[in-house]
Amino acid sequence: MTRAALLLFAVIALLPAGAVADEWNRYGPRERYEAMQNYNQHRQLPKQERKNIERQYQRWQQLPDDERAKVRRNYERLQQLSPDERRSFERKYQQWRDHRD
Amino acid sequence: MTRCDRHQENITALADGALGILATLRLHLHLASCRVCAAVADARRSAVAVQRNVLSAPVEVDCERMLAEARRAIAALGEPTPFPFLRAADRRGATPWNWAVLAGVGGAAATAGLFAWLVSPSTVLVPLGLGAPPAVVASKPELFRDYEIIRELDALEHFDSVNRVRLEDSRPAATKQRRRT
Repeated sequence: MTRAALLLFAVIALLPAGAVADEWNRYGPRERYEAMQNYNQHRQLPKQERKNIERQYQRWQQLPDDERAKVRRNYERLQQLSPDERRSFERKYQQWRDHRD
Repeated sequence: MTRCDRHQENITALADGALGILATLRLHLHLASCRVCAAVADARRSAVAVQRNVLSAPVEVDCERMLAEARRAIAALGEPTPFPFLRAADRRGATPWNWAVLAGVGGAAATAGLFAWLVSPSTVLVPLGLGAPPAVVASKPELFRDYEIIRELDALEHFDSVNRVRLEDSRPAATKQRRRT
C-alpha cells in the first residue's frame, strides 16, 4: 500500500516536469534563441519589475484559449504600429491605467 | 647491301667494343685491302676519340662560390615563419597586403570578442540543443517564449479600450495660458 502511494506520488511529481521538458523540446531553434534572449533581458530587470512580469505570467496561464488568441492578435496589431503611434499608445495606456487605478 | 656496307657496320660495332674476335679479324683483313673502308674506320675512330675526350674532360664547378650564394639567398629569406605571406610582403618591401591580413585577423578577433560580450555562449548553444537551458527557463519555457506578450499583457488585454482614450494635453499650464491669449 505504501509502495503504491509512493509510486503514485512520484508519477504525479514527475509528470509536470516531464511535460515542461517536452514543451521546451518542442520549440524550434528560433523560439529557443528568443527565449534565451528574453531570459537574459529578464535577469537584468529590477526585482520588482521581474515580480510584476511573474504575476502577469500567472494571469496569462489562467486565460482561456480564446482570450489568449485575442491577446496575440492585439500584440500583432501593436507590432504594426509606427513608432509615433506606438508612443501615442503607450501614453494612452498610462492615462487609461491612471484613471482605472 | 654490299660487302663494304656490312664491314662498315662492323666498324661501328668495333668502335663501340661490341664486335666478336672472329668478326674483328675478318674486319682487319678487309681494312688492309679496302681503302674506302679504312678511311671510314679512321674517321670513326677519331670521332670516338673526340667523344671520349669530351666526356672525360674535368668539369670545373666552383662549389664554394655556389654554396656561398645559396647561403646568402637563404639569409635573405629570413627566419622560417608559419605565415609565408607576411614574409613575402616583407621581401617585396610592400606592406598593404601585410596590413590587410593583420586588419582582417584583428577584425575577426574583435568581432568574436564583441559577440562573446554581447551574447553569452549559452544563448547560442542552448537553441542548437548543445546545452540544457537554465533551470528558470526549463521550468517556465512559455514565459520566456511569449515574454513580449506577457510583459505587455495588461495593455494588450484592453487594447481597444486604451485606443479609445483621448490624450489629455500634457503641456504645462503656463504654455496653455499663453496660447489662449
